[in-house]
Amino acid sequence: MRRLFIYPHRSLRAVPLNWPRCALSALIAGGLTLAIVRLLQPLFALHNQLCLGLLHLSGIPVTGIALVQLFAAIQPVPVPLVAVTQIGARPLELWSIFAAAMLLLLELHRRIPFARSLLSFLMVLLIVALGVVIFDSAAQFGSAEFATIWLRGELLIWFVLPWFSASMLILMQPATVLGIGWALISQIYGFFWSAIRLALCIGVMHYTGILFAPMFWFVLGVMADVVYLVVFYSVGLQWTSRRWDTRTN
Amino acid sequence: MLIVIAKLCLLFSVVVLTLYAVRHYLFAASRLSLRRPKEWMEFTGFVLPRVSVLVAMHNEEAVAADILQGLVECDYDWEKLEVVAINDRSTDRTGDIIDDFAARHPVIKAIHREGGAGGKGAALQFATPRATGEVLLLFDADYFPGRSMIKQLVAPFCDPQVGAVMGRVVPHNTGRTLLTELLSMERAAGYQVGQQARYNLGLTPQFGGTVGGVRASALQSVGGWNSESLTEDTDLTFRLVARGWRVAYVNRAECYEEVPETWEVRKRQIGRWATGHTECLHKLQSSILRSKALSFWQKLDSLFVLSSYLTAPILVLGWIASLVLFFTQQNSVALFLSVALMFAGYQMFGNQATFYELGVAALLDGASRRVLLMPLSLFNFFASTGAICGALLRFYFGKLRGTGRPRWQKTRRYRENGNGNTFGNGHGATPRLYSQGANGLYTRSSNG
Repeated sequence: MRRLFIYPHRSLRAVPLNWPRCALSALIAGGLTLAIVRLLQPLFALHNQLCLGLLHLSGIPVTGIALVQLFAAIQPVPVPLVAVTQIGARPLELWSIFAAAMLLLLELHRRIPFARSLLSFLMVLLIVALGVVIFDSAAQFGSAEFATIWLRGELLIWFVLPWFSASMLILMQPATVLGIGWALISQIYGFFWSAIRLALCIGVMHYTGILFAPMFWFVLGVMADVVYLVVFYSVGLQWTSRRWDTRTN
Repeated sequence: MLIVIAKLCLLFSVVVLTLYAVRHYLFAASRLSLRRPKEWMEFTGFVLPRVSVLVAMHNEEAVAADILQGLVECDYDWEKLEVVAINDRSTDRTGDIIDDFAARHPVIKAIHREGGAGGKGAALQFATPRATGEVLLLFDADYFPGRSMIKQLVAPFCDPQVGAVMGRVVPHNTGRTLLTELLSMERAAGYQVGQQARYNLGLTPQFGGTVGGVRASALQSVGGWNSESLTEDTDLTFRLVARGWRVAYVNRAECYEEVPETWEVRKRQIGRWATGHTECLHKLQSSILRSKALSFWQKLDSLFVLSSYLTAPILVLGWIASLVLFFTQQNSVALFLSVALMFAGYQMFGNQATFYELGVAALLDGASRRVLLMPLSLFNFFASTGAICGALLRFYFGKLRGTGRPRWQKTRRYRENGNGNTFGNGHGATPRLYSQGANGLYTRSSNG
């Protein structure tokens, strides 16, 4: 008797992408993008509130709220103002923090072979930052400037994310509703995760000046965004893969 | 002035990396929706050609018996088959193992190369005139060819335009370390998605120098192997396509290999690939651009393949530029671009593969658990970026100083060798597939 379903060899497998499904994905991505555009000011306000709340919780004094211009087409958005230590004026503190951080990175470098290249890159960033602090005091910037740089990057992520979700999560899920769910969760997570990371970076700047700013901008900035996107993608794929396996036609 | 230069560097990096990222997304989408890949085994009535299987072995006592036994167990017509086992200047027991097999199986022809330049290209150049096949198939010594492998690889040669064929490489030591898991995903992305998509889109799949073959007449028409190249396979691929030959890819022809289990070995391997590809780019770019046999898209894709390892230094250049702009607080466009650069850059998660491709390959392969490790590919990405930049710096420095070409380095094997030695990878060694019994015959081990 012929079997009802023969799972094809992996060299022949495919995930059918039909036009209605692609159009639906594009529609959802477009809808999400439009929603972000319409809700941009409330979103930035909520983002700022979250940052302020986290800074208060961690006992870091917030001196006020600044309105910063991200792009000409967007109205100014609020960001928390926090006093940033002029670490270059305190050589002992500067060198102690730098030495402690370098020792920590070196120890991690010794213990974790697979992270060595990343850690080496972070050490280079730390050394560059030290050089800037010592030799170019004009490069000093405050929390508002850092938040401006940060939010410009995040804004791009918020706009790009729906389209990534559409191609990576919605198209590949056997059930479209599940794909939409994944896309929404990743978008919401990205928003909250951004506020947490920004609060952390500003908090660190309050105590250590700009010594760690490039490193944190690099690791906790867009890289962290990409990593969480990949995490969502891989978990979503694992679900998909399990569901595809159990389908019989 | 510095800011202008930084902005220009950043713009250049963003444009290049975005183009690569878009190309890989298109490949993934193409492979994902591929309903019916070309299947060469459906052709009937094709007279099987005489085949020579070339296996170059330099100090391969740990793995030599496995590959030779695998080849003698294949289902190809023995009247039309010869296995050319090349003992390439080995100082261990490789020569003895080859002679032992040749004595037992007339299908095996033992060739001993005592001296000359190192490298696989040189060994193949030495052995090719001694091979009698119309089709030359190649396997590295650490591979496990299946019974029908030769038939699958020979099938595309029924098309007289096909000059070379490539099968799929699948790591067999996948679960050994984190690195082997990550490399397994990377290989899957490269073959299941990249090679298959390129083939189906009418571009050029790459002949990888193992689990593949070349038509003897095609090889002769382009002047034979280039023993000077570090990646003689890439060199041959693009010399063939520039002369109008086609390269076929057979996704079904899967062969198992060992991937590096330690990061040091991996870095050396990827450094060699980077140097070899870039060497080929400098040597072959003009013949690819001038070729009348290639379409615009084929030329463009060929240049993308050969330049692929240059994306690592371009990415680093972009990072340096964005760092300069970060400290000088250059606003709006510049930092916007720096973010785009990072986004495009981190998509090179596998060896020149986006994480989208890694995921698609894992999905098609049904590797549902392994896919959860994908975020850790970030570490592989950084390790590869560093290794590639280092290798290319040495390459260009060597060219500038005229200190000669880089040396070929053999990739370390992890299988338990004939003397029972194991490499200290902390996880024991992969057992040999075949072991020699008291009667001198090789039988499949119970643990293999």
